[in-house]
Amino acid sequence: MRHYTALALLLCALVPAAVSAQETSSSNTGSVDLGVRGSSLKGDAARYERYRDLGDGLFLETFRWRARSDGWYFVGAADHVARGDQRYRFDFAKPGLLKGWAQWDQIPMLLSRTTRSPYSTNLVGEFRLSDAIQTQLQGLSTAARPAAVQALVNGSAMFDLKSKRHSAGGALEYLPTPQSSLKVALKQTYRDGSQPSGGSFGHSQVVEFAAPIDHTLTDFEASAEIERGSMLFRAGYTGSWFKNDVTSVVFDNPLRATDISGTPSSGRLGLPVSSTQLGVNGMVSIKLPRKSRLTAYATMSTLKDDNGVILPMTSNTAVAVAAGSPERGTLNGEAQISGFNLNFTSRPSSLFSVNARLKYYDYDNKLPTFTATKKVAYDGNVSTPASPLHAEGFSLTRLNLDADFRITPKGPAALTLGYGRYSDERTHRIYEETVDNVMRVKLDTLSTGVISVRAVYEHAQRRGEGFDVNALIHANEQPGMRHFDLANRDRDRFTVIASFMPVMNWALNVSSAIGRDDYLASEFGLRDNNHDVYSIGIDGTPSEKVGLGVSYSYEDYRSLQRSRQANPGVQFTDPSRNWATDAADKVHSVIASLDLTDLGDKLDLRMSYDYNRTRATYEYITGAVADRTLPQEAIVPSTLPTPRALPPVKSDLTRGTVDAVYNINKRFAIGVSYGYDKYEVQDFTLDSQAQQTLTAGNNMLLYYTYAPYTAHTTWGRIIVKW
Amino acid sequence: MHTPASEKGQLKKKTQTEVCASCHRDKASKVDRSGHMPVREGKMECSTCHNIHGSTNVKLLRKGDSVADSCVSCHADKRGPFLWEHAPSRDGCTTCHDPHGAANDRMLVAKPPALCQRCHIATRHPSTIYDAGLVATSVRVFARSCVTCHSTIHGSNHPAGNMFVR
Repeated sequence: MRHYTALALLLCALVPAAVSAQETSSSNTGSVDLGVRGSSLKGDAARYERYRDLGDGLFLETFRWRARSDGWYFVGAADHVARGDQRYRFDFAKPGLLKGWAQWDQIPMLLSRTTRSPYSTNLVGEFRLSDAIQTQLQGLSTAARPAAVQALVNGSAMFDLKSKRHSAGGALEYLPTPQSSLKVALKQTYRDGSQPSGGSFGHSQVVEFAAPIDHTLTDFEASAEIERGSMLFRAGYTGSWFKNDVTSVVFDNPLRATDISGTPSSGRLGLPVSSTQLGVNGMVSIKLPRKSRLTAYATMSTLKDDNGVILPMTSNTAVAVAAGSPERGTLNGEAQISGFNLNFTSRPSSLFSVNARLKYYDYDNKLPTFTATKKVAYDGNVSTPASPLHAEGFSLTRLNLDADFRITPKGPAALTLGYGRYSDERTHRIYEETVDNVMRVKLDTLSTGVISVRAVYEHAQRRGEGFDVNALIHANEQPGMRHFDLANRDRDRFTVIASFMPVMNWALNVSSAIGRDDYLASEFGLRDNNHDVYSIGIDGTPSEKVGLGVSYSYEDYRSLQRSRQANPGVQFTDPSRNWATDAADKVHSVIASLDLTDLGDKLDLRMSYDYNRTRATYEYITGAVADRTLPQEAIVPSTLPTPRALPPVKSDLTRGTVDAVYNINKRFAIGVSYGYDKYEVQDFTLDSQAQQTLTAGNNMLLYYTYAPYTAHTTWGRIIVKW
Repeated sequence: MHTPASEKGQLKKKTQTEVCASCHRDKASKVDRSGHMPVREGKMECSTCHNIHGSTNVKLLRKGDSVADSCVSCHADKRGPFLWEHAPSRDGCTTCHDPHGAANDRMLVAKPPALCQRCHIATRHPSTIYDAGLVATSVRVFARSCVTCHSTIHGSNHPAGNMFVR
């Protein structure tokens, strides 16, 4: 079928080719690129393909068609025809009157070809084992169970763990007058397939399953814009409908055939419910004297679930009566989301300009309070929490102010001084409010033709107010914990980007970004988070037929996280049990390309090379950490055992392509392409060595792992142009 | 910028990523990491999320009025409403994920359990040192680590979902 589709499209392509051959003045142009592909692959096929369909055989890589007639412009495009990652697009336009596009796109996501599971899924969302298997495993001794569970998994057939997005959309823009326009856009994305998910029957037994994905997202936008003199008005409507056809998952317990109090024969997990978000927005922009403009934008929308059901307290029939029913049966979730932007830009003279922005954002979560006086953990036992559990939605209000003043003296550089104040108010978090005060300085060289530099230094101080220690105590957290997305922080960042063009058609680019985050009041949690990034690259076009570029970059990310290993009681306040994770992530990457075109007026040769080398380390440190522990922290000798070092996480990706196209004449070309992909990985939780540990205990996992691959791919191509 | 080498947009280089990488080299490098969105495969490009000519959102994001708004415009299953919400997923997805790419599974900014322990060191198992000795025996560190059990980490509508295990 795939081949027939590709051939049919090729025939369609050849028809206009023949027509255009007769009509030399025709504006009908295009190309089609097709051929045969073959791959030699060793290793993880899923990670190689990932978001692509790279199967062997015939392929129609690209089809392009462009036409012009009576002032209308048409563009048709097809990519990867009849493959799992195919895309078709049609654009049309009559400048000044109408333009639009329509597109069909598929994006696969291939996670694994080697996952395995003994679950059967005759009903969507139900992962079942036969009663006989559950009874057999239940009857085994505790010591015999792990081997039996792993034998069950190992005896299961492998399957592809994957999903795919199917997206159809289009848009129209109509200009009834030169000063007005109407726009509509509609897009629907259906996603099906599965993704790894897990469920637990307690702290020593977990299962994984391929949770089903079966949801549709439909987005609609309409807007009208009109210009009247110095004013521009825009009004818009947005609608977003998310429909999820699977809102719960039931998974059998391999070690239990019948429900009893404390151990269920199955568990149940909630998945997201369907929801609708509808909104309106408006914008007014006013052109002011002295090269100034004021723009105001406002938006308001409502997000609601579509009669989302709160699941029963448990799937365990032995405790369902004792557990009772949830306080209410439906979610009744709703949020009012509103925003307002005010922008002012002005350049009253060539020496001075100002850019000021005010942004307000409010997410008002109106979820009715939900109280649970009983809880069934892991679908096992019914328990009564010391204090009732309250589900209260998070609300958030942001008010951001930015102002930049740019001075452009009659010299080679411009100086910008900026200030920002970002205020965030939140409910149900450890700080009621956080405020970031940001100062920045920018230096830009003006175009000299030889050198251009942009340097930015930024210093920010974030401070929280209304600290609620009870939010931590209630969660059994250390009172000294500060969640790093809110915690008091001093931040310094410096970036510089420079381009040197010493001779025509050659450019040397260098850049650097240095960042330092100091969480200056966090006894526990993230203490610091720093990065250093450097890059250098050369781009050149020494002649019309030669283009090349090569760049290298080095990235270094480091962070320190502070903790205390403690059970309730005396350990909780014992500083000798403090420890830290010193994490580092170092990356080297190279990107290079060489384009040689019209060699001998016939041959185009393109080569590219990408290399990305990542090394991540997680070093455990017990006791104090010099210069990185809070000064007020009590320094005592550690009473924790010396941790065994984790191996580094390594990831190397090498990709290279050579693409040669020989132009037989203006209409036909033949080509051959070669691609080399190599991925090496060492990951102590997800690689082949970790696979051995997946067999530990009574856990029934999917064997979703990271594995290396090496792929050699060759394409033979024919290109037809008209 | 506009001496066209690209198929569309009259860009100076063949792809958007190449143009943007001229300045944002660190972001372009991240699409070559293990966890990435389909940018290097050609199914997304910088302008899928960003509008370089201007936007009403932060970071020149094309959709919505916050970082989370932008992410859930495609990942609508994460937008809620939820009975139990994980606060940072409402506040901003980038607390845990790097949308440009990361060496970690699911584009996480650090590897679990270290990532989760940046905020969660409550008594008992969250505060444990998961060293090499536990890698081979504890499901809390091998495979998908914390989210194997806490699988509804973005939010749950189960009455027992306050710890995101149901």
